[in-house]
Amino acid sequence: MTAATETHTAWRPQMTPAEVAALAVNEGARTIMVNRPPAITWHKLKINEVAASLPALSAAARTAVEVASGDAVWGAEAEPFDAALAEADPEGHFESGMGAEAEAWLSAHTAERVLVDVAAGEEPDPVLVHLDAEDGTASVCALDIIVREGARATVYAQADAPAGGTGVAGFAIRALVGEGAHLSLVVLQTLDDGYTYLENTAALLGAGAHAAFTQTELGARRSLVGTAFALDGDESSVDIDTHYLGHGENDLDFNYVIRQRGRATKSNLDANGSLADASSKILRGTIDFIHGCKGAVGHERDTVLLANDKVRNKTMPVLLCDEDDVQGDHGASIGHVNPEQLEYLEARGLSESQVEALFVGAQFDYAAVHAFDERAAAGVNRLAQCVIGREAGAQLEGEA
Amino acid sequence: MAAEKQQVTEVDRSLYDFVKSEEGYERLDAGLTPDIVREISAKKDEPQWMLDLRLKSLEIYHSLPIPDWGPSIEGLDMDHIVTYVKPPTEQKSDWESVPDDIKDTFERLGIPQAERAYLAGVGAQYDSELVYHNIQESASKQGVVYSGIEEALHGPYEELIHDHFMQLITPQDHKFAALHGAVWSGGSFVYVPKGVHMEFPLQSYFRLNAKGAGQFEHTLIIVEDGADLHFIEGCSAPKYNVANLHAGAVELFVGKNAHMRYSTIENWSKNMYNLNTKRAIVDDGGTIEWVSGSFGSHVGYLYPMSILNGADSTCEFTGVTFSGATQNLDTGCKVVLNAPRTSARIDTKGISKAGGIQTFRSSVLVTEKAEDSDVYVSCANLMLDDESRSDTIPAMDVRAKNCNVGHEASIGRIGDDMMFYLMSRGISEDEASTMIVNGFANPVSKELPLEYAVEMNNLIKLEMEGMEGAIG
Amino acid sequence: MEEALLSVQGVCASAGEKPILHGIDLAIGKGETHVLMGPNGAGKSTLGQVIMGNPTYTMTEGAIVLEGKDISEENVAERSRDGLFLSFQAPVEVPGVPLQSFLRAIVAQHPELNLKGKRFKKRIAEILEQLNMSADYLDRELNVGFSGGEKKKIEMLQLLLLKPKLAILDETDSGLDVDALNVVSKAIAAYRAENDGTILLITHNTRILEHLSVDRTHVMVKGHLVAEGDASLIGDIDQHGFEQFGVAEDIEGNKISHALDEDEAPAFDAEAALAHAEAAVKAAEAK
Repeated sequence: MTAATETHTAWRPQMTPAEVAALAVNEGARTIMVNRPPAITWHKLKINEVAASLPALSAAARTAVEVASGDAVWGAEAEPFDAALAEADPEGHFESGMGAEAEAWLSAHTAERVLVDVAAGEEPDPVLVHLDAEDGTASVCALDIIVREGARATVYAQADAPAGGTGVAGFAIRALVGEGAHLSLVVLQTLDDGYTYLENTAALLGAGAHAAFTQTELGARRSLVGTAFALDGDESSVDIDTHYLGHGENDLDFNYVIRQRGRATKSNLDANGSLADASSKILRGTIDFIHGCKGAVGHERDTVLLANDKVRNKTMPVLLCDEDDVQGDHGASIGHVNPEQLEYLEARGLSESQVEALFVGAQFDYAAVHAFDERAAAGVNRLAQCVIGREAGAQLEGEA
Repeated sequence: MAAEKQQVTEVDRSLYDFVKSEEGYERLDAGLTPDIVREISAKKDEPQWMLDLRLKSLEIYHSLPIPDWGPSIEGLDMDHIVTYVKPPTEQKSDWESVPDDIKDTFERLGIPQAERAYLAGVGAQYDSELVYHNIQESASKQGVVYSGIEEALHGPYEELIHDHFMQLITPQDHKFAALHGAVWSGGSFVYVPKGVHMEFPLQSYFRLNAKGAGQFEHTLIIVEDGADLHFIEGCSAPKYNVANLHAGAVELFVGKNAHMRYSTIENWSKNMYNLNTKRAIVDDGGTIEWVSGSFGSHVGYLYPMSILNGADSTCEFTGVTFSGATQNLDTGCKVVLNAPRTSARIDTKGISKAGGIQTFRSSVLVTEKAEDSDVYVSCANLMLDDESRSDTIPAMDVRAKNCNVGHEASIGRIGDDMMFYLMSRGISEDEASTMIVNGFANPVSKELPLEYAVEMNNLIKLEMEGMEGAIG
Repeated sequence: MEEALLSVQGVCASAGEKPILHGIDLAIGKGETHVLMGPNGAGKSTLGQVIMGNPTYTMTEGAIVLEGKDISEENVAERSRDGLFLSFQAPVEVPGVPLQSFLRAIVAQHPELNLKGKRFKKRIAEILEQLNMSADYLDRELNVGFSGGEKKKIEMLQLLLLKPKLAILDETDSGLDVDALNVVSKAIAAYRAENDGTILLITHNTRILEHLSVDRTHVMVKGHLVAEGDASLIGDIDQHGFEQFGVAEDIEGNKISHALDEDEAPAFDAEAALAHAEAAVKAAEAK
């Protein structure tokens, strides 16, 4: 198979805290295990965890990260977030989707830390963060977001490589959404094939808090995306909307962990993607109804279009439940363009491979239409040009 | 309990010499040695190839780890596995030592006196031998061979068995498949010739080895091209065994355009560790149907697996698992679609109550060869109170382009509106819950022959009894 | 005055924290047919549910008395055995439970019916014929895949089978085709005739009322009982809708177009509406 799948090792025991601490120092090439789900399955399936072999790289210059607009502290320390976290999470429920090893590696290679701290009741303008990966480096942006009581915040983040190249790029995102507050977080990744991408998110929500997380992963030879939301507060909720595209020999690896502890919490995970050429993907999504979360509701869905014979998709939607007064469901739909759609499109003169290209292109078009600023759109277009030989959103010119 | 402890110390003393002489095995399982295995094989007067298979399996057993992804099997005395396999004649047990709740269940399910000792593994007085003999005769009139697997090894079917035995479930598969390969004992052999349609289901119930074994039985069924067979394993009455490990194996070979239905109601007593392996391989145009009701065992690992190896072959799986107090049942199924135009439909229901733990675990693999195939998995789980646990851990690996894989699962409790509706007709809360749960399990019971379905419903009623304030 | 069969006394009820019913007083005599009307969201169905004892609602004040016995503390099943019956607006599906098994089970809870074995079968056959329903229904899973009309027929089957002292029929007639409506009318008529049945009919629909002789009419608005009168009140509402009670809807719950915009309309004033309604009733009576 492809190089990506060869690095999926079967199993090895988790690192000890000392070993993890050693990772936090940038010294040489590392192989870390990431994206382990809360409940594992047969090891033979090679879906439990994944190994990421990361070369020895120095962290990129701080200028790789730019806050294009909005109120944020560039060059922040970790301390303000750490302090807010200690207060909001006395029982230590905060966790990241990729796991401790990734956290350590990312912190050792951080180019820049950005802190967005929104005061109670405030509703500031959106913050736009651009990460331009630098050739031959690890370009990692640490993004700390604190949305205090009753505030509403919007943060856009893009990982792009306008100058091409090879290396590692990533986001280490930590978010605290306070009582009755709102966070809208959008991440867009348009990296070239030369890059490995790590996106590690850890979030904790207080009572009545709401988070909307939109992810669009279009490029990178290897994307490792771990997303964890702790719905601690009663009536807190999260909506995760993920769009992804696999092309060439790219590999995407996702791990979602939603822990519902508060009562009447709601979660919704909706992943939609297309896999073309010889790409591959693993998606693990776990909704964990923890004892006491009476009235909680959780939905999870992965819809995948397989556009080619050589692609490989693994999906593992998991429901863990320790509470009877809940409603949980998950679903996965994996397959090809449905026969009716195919018939219709072919009747309009499209060959089967053109139909595939249509669906692949659709991911770019969608991303272009929803791009949050010009640079984001430019990133999408640049990648689209490489991959499908045209600009994204081109067919949609003229739409408002 | 006292009886069990006594057993262990007795065996230890008598094995003292063996332990000394088998270097390398001391630190692992002090009891399970090649000599024990040779002893088993010699007593059965087996062909050399079978002994070789056993010894090879033993080696593999010692090299494989205990699974770390499922329920704990701490309660199994892994250091003294040999105590589970010593030839049955040395295992002493009597009616007095059968636990009260087992006797109670026999009473409530209306199991005739004569059968009870048999089911409790304390005697062979039950006239099952006669019933079994009658079944055999009827089957052979149709040209179907139904016999004990050990007898079949000494007859004209030896070569056939040799070509199939542990070819589908190999010792390498997992630790307890390897254990099985080393110490298997008893079980059924069924051979259905080409084109033969068995008129009535064959039942394994009457083939239980009453002397406390049945723990490592091996069922091997070959259904030739165009043939049709329904095989029913188990019964709803609790099967009790002092030695609490069941590591059986079932291998089903389904020929071209053949049809095989394998039904099971499993109710091993609540002290048992049920680590069973069942697998079917299906040729072109063939069909395998599994109907499965799992109620018993303290810990269960049970994932009937279907390999759709022939074009246009199909698999249907309908199951219900009921996990009550002290139970941790990890069940589900596996299917591999490895040929064009294959299809699989999986429909499971799970119920947890009174602190029971239930896990649905599945694996669907659609290989590159399975073009134009489809799979649909539906898994619904009912939690009857907030003390219990229900987890759903499915995995799908899809490598073919023109295929459709769908999966849906849900978890929740009995809807308040459903309860209110039934209670508004005067039905008590407990009775309403039982009715609803029976209805929930209906997809399985309606696939079983009537007497089994009735038994299953009674079993559910029994399990539901004593529910307190189940509905919030 | 004869003691009422059912007496609802100052009942207040909430769903969780939210109060829904306020001080409901209602008395239904044996053999009477009462109609409960009101605009959408009035709490009519809720009242039916509360009388039946649905645990989703908490009765915070008042009492419900059936044949002189206070049943306020009884659970649903107990109330059913005491002789209450509720026909549901949208009966829930119960998968895997054949209708037949269900009917046997409920008959077992009402031993006073004395319907065992052959008698049960006979009685079911009788009712099926009476309602012009096929025996095929008996093997189908309870309400699963049944159309709205079919579900209502099953409710009526149960009504005739159980012969309750008081039948609360919740929107039993809404959304039905002619055939189903006929069955429902027949069933109600049979129930009344054969058992001197007592009915509380919750409805939007005047058509069904054409075939019924109504003894009392009650009007509910936003959880309050705002009017009570004889059958003529129905005609009044049919003509003017619920505007006189401060709600711009016609009798079937459709918004009345010339009414004020919701934004402009003043908040509902229960007392004013009640006063207005009382005046309207007095005026009607004076005629």
